[in-house]
Amino acid sequence: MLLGQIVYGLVIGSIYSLIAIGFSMVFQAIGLLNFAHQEFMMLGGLIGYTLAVTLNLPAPLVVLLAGLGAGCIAVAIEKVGISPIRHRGGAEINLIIATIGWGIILSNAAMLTWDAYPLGYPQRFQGKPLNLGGISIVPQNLVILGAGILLMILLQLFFKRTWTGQSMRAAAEDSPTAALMGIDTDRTVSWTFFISGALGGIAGVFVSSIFYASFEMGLIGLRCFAAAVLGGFGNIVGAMFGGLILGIIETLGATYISSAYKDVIAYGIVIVILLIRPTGIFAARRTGLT
Amino acid sequence: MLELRGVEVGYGRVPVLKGISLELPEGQIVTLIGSNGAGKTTTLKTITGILRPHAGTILFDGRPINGISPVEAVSRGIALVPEGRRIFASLSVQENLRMGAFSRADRKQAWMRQLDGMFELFPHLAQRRHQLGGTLSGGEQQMLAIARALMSNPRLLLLDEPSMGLAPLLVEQIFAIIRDLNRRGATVLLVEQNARMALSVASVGYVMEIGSIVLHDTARRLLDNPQVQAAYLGI
Amino acid sequence: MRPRFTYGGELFLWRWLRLTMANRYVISPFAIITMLAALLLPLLLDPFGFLILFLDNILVFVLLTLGLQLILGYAGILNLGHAAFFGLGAYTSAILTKTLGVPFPLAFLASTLMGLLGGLLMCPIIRLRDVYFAMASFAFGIVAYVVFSEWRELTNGHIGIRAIPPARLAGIDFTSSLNFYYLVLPCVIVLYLVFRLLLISPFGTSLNAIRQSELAARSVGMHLAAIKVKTILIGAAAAGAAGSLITHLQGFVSPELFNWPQSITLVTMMVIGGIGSFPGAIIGTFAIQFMSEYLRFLVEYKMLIYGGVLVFFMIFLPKGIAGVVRALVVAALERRSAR
Repeated sequence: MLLGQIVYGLVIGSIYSLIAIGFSMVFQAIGLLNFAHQEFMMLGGLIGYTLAVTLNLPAPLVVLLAGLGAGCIAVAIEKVGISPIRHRGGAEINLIIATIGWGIILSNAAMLTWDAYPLGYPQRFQGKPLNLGGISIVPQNLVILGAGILLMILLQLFFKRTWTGQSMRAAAEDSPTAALMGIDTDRTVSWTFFISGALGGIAGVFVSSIFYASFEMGLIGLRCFAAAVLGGFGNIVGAMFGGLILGIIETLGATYISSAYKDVIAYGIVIVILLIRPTGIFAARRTGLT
Repeated sequence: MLELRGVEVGYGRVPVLKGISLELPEGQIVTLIGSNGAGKTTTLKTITGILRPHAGTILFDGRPINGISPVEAVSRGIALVPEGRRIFASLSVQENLRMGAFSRADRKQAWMRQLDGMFELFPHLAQRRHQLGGTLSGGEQQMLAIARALMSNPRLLLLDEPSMGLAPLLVEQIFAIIRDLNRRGATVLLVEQNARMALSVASVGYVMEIGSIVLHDTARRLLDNPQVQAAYLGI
Repeated sequence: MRPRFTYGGELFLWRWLRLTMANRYVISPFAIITMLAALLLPLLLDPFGFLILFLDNILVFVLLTLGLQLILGYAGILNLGHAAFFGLGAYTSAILTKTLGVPFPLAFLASTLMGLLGGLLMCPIIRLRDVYFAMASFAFGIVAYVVFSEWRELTNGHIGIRAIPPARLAGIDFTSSLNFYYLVLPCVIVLYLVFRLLLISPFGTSLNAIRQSELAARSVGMHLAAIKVKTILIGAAAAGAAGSLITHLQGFVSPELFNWPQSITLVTMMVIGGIGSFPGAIIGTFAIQFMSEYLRFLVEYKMLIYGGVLVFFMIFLPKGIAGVVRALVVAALERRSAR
């Protein structure tokens, strides 16, 4: 029972991680709290629904294309409605309100496109429950956990090994100096939004295949903001663990305490962590204290 | 190689450079000295395209490069070692150097070779290869900053206050490296507050005061100039 | 003899306006005209119509946004949990008047105090830097919302508290929209005047200094934390009072009104109206409220357009409506003084 709960917590947590990583990446790159981020997840879920039901595509292709779609929309938004504000020297608060505006636009555009009803994924996404050493597990959950972890490893390799990934890290740390190296910082920001949106979109497919897809599902993604804080905002590895921990805390908390107060637990942790360790429970690079 | 003609720059309405002209022949070290706030760093920022001049021309190889972006500047062969070194603290030494080669068209093939060259030139950095940039000492960071700029294989190297905050022994070392680089053919524009050291390695010096060039001569003669001695050499 | 309308060559009214904008006078001629117009406005409206009820509602929100403007626009604190104070006030008043039968004036004071107490609760996070504070206050708001919706014994959960007795003061019943208008308008006017007075006091001088440069204010030895705490307490108390008023205006409370989207809407009103301007806060409140009410004909496109307006403002009018007006007035004043 407990082990099964923990595994389920890890599955949900790995989804949170994917969303939290994207949230953190954008914060690290341009210091922005992206309140539209959870909508990339929502878009991924709905795009995935269309691909899976209307076009009847195989699951891996659905995940890939939904991620690609959400990523491209994220870049489009960055180009049209985020970077122009930054280039005009807009204040932090203006950028935040703009992302809120985009969040409203995205969820309502999605409602007009896909209608307001929850949309369930086809049965073939779930598979038959397996019995592993006494724990009953839906194979889909194992695939999600595996795929989530694989994606995070790939992301780390991307940041460590590739020119683009490394230049993104350099530009996130010190944009003017990165420009002196010949790094086009507008491009690294666009890349950041693309990856952030794509990870969100993939997470959306995962969430929707467990529950359902709907224009309102962004609300689930908002909790990942707590995961991002838990891992130290702007710290990508931290966000990854933050998501996993949040998933476990939430699942166990819902079983053993009360599901009604799970937001109090998550956000209470946020406040405490910000106060005692604003850099999160993992690293100690940036500091949030004055 | 590089020539500035009547370059004027301002932040908002405040003029910072009031029409400065200078010339940098290929293969030489030219130094720009002056006190704090004279406009030395602004001059370098203007050459590398961080700031745009609102009057005057900057010629590189005889062609105007006014208003180019920093990205273009480095791809044309102008590399700046910024004031305060600006090492990427969260990147390792090797990753910092790799980023230095980012602008090169042949970066995929060339960077490893160039990296070996840098480690030969700065054996100290080779030992620190996998350490994070932020954990290096001041002197090591300065060497890394210079090596990182050299990774782009620049034709013109701009150095902004390389001696800042370093112990005298390290300053000697950094200047020995600059002299060495020049011997290997690098053209260098050196901005320094440590005027004595700068003039001792440079062939030509320019003296800046509140946004204008007030004096220029060979470095030798500037060292003997009583005005310069009184104002900048503490004699 | 011709009457004198000028002062040192400058038209009297213009001088008045200029000095108000420079925080030397408490109130500008336009503010006085607006207040008089607001006092007389109900004479033109149907006392039982929708519009006056709508105005009552907006004026309650003005109390919220004026307080938030002090916090956000002047002390530069990115508070994304302001609705929590609003909720605290609302539930206090609801529970006191309905369950304990406490008279309205006392409940109103208690709500204000509870708002203040909520502000005190927020104080530990005041030392967090900008975006980190924003995140913590956002979390603060969500925690408050969960408490409102889950502490069922006290708040009756998502169903909320209904049939709350109307406000009564000195024998006057404020059930009708018209009467309520004359309860909330004086509150707004008093709060506005108090805030304007604050701005021209030494406290206001330090607020302005912080707004211009936090670093500079710190370096001249200002105790930033103390000033920030004061603004939060004042703003939170105003929000608590607003909570009490909304409770008695609506006759019921439920937690949704105090969830995080409400806090975000308040910040939106601020930004659309203009950060760092009290008239801006009022304009923004009216603009957003009218937009969400009168865009209804767009049906399902309403929120889409609303989001588009937000993005448009942030790109093209980042200083809000007050910013545009201020730029026009300053240009006009400069033209005059150049003449």
